Amino acid sequence: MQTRAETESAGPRPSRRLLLAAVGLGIGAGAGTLVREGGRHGGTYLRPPGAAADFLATCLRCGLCAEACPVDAIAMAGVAAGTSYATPTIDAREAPCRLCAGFDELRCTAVCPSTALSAPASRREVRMGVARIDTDRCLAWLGVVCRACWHACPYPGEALALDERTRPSVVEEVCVGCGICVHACLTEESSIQVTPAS
Amino acid sequence: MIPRWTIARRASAAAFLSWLALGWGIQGSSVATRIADSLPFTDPLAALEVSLASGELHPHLWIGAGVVLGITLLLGPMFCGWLCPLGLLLDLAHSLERRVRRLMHRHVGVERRLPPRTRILTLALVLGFAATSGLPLFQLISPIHAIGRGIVLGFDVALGLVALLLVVEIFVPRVWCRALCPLGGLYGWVGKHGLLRVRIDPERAGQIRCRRCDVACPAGIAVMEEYALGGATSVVDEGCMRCGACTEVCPRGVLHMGLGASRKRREN
Ligand code: SF4
Ligand code: SF4
Ligand code: SF4
Ligand code: SF4
Ligand code: SF4
Repeated sequence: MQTRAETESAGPRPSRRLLLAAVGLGIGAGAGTLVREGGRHGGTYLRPPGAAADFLATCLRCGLCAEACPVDAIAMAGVAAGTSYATPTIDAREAPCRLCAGFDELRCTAVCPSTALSAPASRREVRMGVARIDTDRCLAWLGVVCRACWHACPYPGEALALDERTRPSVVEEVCVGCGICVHACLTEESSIQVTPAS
Repeated sequence: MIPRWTIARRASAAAFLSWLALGWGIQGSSVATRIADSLPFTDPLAALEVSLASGELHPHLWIGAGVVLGITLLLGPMFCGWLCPLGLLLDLAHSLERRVRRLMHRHVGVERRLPPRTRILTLALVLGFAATSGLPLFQLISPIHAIGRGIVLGFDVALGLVALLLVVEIFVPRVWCRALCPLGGLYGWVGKHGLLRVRIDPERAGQIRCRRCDVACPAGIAVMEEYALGGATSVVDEGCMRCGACTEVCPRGVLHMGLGASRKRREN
């Protein structure tokens, strides 16, 4: 019978281990190449502030951001999201990002253990996306005085401008994409939508 | 003999899971947690996958993962027995299954030895996939996080995988932990020489050859045959989960979990 007296250790010999590792790497890398070619960017979602461009690769799917958000704006995506499963998304109509008003930092970016979310230099630098107004629906554009989005926007008069007939328009260079306007819009389906950055 | 080690281990894993669920002073899931809103602990496999997938090192991420790896290197794969929510479930299922078998007067013998090396294969597979696909796939489908994240977020699809594992468990006990889990593979490899391991008293070894330790070991490690009779003073094995089962069944105090060489409780 073989004993372990000399080495005190059981297990495969290093060469066997290397071989197994190589086989695993090969199969994994091969399968991974197929997936990458099949298009891994399954869908675009409104992400929390400071989201990395390569979000699917950098997010750990840990859920820390969702737990940290004081206004419960972040929901972890369900299975239907495919490769975006368990990544943080924001449904602005439900609960927009309030840019952590009243806090000294953006909570989600502060707790993220990865660089999936990194703190922007200032709130104004946040670029989650850009709002766009559907002028065929927007009450103001249909001739009714509304201003709901303008009142809600954290940068009224800057990100959302009103013309002489109180019709809103988005100043794309300033809009942070928080989606507060989307939430505020009075029409049944919001007449202002945020196009996500990524 | 009271299985103190096992009780402490299970209590710790159960407490960790409850703590995550309650969220008092702790944020996050089994993937990554923050304690007291400052101390980060990150799953080192998640960190590896993300670093490979994004092609960047993310030093920030490796602080939390480094702490976990450091503890593993020093003590052993402690996550497995003391924190892992899936490990807890499979551990309980395994002891229930053995109890039932004994009640039915079925033979309970030495577990078949599954080579722990297959975990190196799954680990390499997961890492290779991350590097080329740009996706940390295991973090999406991990049955460990299905529990450890599901309990925080409410639900997780990989719970289906957990249910499947419980069925497989009946046929091949602890097969996931022993032969498939890439995270366990990483911990087992890094923590193989960790100091907290089964220590063998060479003076007492071999006095009786009951093989109770061999039967008790869920990993199928031949503690008596290979190690104790081989003259080893400790079990250094990639597959050892530091569960302590072998030490708790030993009637002669040959085995105990410890940091250093075996104590001699019986001088002269
Ligand atoms: S910045 Fe604040 S409010 Fe906005 S998503 Fe992050 S945590 Fe929530
Ligand atoms: S905290 Fe960061 S790594 Fe964790 S789920 Fe949110 S974005 Fe992903
Ligand atoms: S226009 Fe809408 S999305 Fe843009 S900053 Fe104002 S409220 Fe936020
Ligand atoms: S081998 Fe994997 S599933 Fe089993 S206890 Fe360790 S980490 Fe958990
Ligand atoms: S050798 Fe002992 S401590 Fe290690 S897995 Fe087997 S029973 Fe558990």
